[in-house]
Amino acid sequence: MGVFYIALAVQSVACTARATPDARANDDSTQSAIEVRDDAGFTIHLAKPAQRIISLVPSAMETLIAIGATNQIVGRTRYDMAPEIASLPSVGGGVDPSVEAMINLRPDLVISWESDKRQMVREKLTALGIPVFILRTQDTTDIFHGIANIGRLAGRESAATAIATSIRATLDSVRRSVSGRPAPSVLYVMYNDPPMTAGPQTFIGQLISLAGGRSIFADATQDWPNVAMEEIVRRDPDMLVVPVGEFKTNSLERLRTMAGWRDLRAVRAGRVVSVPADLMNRPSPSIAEASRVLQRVLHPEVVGADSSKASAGSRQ
Amino acid sequence: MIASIAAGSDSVWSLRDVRFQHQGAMRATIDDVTVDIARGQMTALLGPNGAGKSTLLQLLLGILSPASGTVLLDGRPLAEWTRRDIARRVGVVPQGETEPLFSVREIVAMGRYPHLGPWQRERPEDIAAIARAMDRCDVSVFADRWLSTLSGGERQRVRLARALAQEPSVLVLDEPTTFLDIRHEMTTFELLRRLRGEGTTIVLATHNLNLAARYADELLLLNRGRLIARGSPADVLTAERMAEVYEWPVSILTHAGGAPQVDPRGSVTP
Amino acid sequence: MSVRARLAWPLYMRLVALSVIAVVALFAAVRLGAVSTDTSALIDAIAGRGDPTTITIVRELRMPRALQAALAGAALAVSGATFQALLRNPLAEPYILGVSSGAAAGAVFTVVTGLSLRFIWALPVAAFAGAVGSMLLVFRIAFSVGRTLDTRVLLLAGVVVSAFLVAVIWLVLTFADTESVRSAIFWMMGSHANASWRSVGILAVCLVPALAILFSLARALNLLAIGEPTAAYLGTSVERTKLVAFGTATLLTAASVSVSGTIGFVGLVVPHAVRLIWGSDNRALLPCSALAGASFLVAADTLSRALAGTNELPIGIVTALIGVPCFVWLLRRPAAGVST
Repeated sequence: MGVFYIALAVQSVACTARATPDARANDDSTQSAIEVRDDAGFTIHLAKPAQRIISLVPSAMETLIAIGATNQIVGRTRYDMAPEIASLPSVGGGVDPSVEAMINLRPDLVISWESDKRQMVREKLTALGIPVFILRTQDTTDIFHGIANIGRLAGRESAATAIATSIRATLDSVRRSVSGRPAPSVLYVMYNDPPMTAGPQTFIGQLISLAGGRSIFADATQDWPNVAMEEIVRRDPDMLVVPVGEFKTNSLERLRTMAGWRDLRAVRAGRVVSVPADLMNRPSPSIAEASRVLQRVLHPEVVGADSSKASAGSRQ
Repeated sequence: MIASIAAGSDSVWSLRDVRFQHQGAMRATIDDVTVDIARGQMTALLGPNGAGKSTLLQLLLGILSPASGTVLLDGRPLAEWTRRDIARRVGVVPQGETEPLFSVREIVAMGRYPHLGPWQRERPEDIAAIARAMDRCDVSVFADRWLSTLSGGERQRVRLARALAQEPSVLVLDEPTTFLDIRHEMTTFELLRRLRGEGTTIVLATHNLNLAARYADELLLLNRGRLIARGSPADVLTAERMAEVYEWPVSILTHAGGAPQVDPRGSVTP
Repeated sequence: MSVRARLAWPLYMRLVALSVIAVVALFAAVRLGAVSTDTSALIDAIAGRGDPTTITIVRELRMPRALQAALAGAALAVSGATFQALLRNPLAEPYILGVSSGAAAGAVFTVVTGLSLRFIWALPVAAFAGAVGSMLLVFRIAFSVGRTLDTRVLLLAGVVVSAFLVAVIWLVLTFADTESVRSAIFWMMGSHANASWRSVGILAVCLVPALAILFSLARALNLLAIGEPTAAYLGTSVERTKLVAFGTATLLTAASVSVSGTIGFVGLVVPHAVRLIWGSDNRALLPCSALAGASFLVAADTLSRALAGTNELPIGIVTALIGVPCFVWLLRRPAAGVST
């Protein structure tokens, strides 16, 4: 069941205090009908921008807050702890919410998961006339699409565009700052037992290579592959990047005691860096900050000018 | 009890050259048996363990089919009978059964199932037959108790009551008195005699040679699947034959009522 | 109450008593939920008056769900009672012939391949097909050993087929992505959350003829519960009855499992509980088990929803958690009538 918790951790996380970007857009909701195609191929029709939104996907919640649509949100999942929405009623889990509770809030738009294999929520809600927008959050392209689509659905397109531009600027800056530098080989340790990492097509995988790292599993085909310990030993990473969250199952001390891990060159040399799990796991506007964090741990020699408030990586 | 009159036949069962072998057995379980079971009589099946008594009963009832030979019931081949028809004619008291939570009355009531359709409820004549059967077997006092609370002998009587509730013209019993004490064994045989007097044909397999000799009209002696002897008790129960079949020396005494009684000798070796 | 007094209850009285319990359970199911409603608002909503949101919640969410739980509970209980009679084994339950593993295999297949995403009905259909398929496989194995449906061979074949399918399921899940694993596991724990009027209708259509067939076999099942030779002596066509009964009970189970996942314990315990009160006569046991099973599963579903606000416990867990203490209490009562 550890896999389940990690998956949950990947997709939904406790929010910490975040500064909203400077760009504050005016509400430029148009009066004409809104038509947006979601990531499952369905077209969502809204007569006007959604004013009663429930997002089952925490990263979408983040985006909504970031574009200034906080007042258009009417419900949250139990995993959404951002202070802006903490007072809203909870509808339960992200993948198994209470449909009854959702209906009771009379939403005019629900944002749900693409990765839910049974899609019971979508089935039930659309049968009752509530539009459901399926959101894919696997790679950075998905994230940008998501920001744009959410902006359109909430009638805050210029704010969404501004945020997207800002994120791109940060990502470009990071990429430029590490270009030409030798890239250390990296294993991103999503989970250590059984070992799980981020594939190259995930946003984490993409951020790692953007920030000047070379994942030792850049040839993986799955998004979140379980990898064999032997394979890790054979590929011999220069360093391990370990997301640390409330569970505290990932840490250098722990890895030093675990069979297989303790014999890795990187572990013996102590080249294991931790990054905040709740920052890294969010496929949302936070990737700008996440990219800065990765830049700092992968290329500490680069002096970066950034005013991030969250704690960055630290050598353990 | 109603005496059934079949067209022109005074045999209930006719077996011709019947042969049967259990899967994996070394020899034929029933080997070339030819016999008629007479109507209105009590016929006892005797023989040592493994002689084939139970198998023969199952062949009579159509549970097993012979490898060769024919079995006729009331003049018709057994294969042409449906199970329901057989059940309306023949009541069976088997040796042992599983015992789910049924009350005694419910068990005896099962004797009426062959006479009822799947959705049909018990009619007054069915209720009367059940009550009569329970009375005759002396189990009425247990009517509303779970079967599992009764002793082995009491359960045997309940199974007999169930067969009687069928109101059969033929009664087949497989070792009916194994668990019964003297009183109940005797009352069972007395009841069988009364039923026979009313015209019911009785076929029973038993180990109790002496009671069989006293009550049965005809004895069939089986050994190793073959019909060794057939006839009245006096004809069948001779000392030499008993010693040979049962592999134990016996003497034959005479009962007060005239029937021969088998008296096994004491230990052979000192 | 003595055995005689209990057995004296005529069937219609027993059914009335159980129906009352079922109605109470259904009412509670519709009344309770994540969103609180009071009784007068509830009655208005059922009739279609009042706040549209409440009407939607009551009529489109709670009512179909309660009815689906009732139908599934009835199906599982009757099927369990049938298997217990056919196999002459008190431990028999609806999944004993590999039905649950077959259904799970079908469900897992559609989840992992993504078929369940593309076609809404793919999962229930695959679960049903898997259940029926494993039953046919078990029958095939039994028939290949002898010409008859020997119950010992059936039991063994069921165990073996189950074990094989479970291994296959875990193998598939090992290589599947996280979401698939999660979805598959939660399906296997059972849930009525996806109930709709359509699924209720389909289940009812499957249930009614199956229940009619099994009720008509009630006497034959009584005889088979005692022994196959005895059943034959008393006029049952044993092999034909076994085939029809096994097949119908399995289809009943398959229908229930395909809409609500593999919910355990109902099919094993409910018939036993009814038997402890009123004995094994299937003419009463089957319809009483149907009603008792419906009440039980509806109650379990209500508890799984109402215990923790927006959280929901998988119903398979609830049936075990409340079923076991209830059953132990029943067992400890003097079941066997001592004196009349």
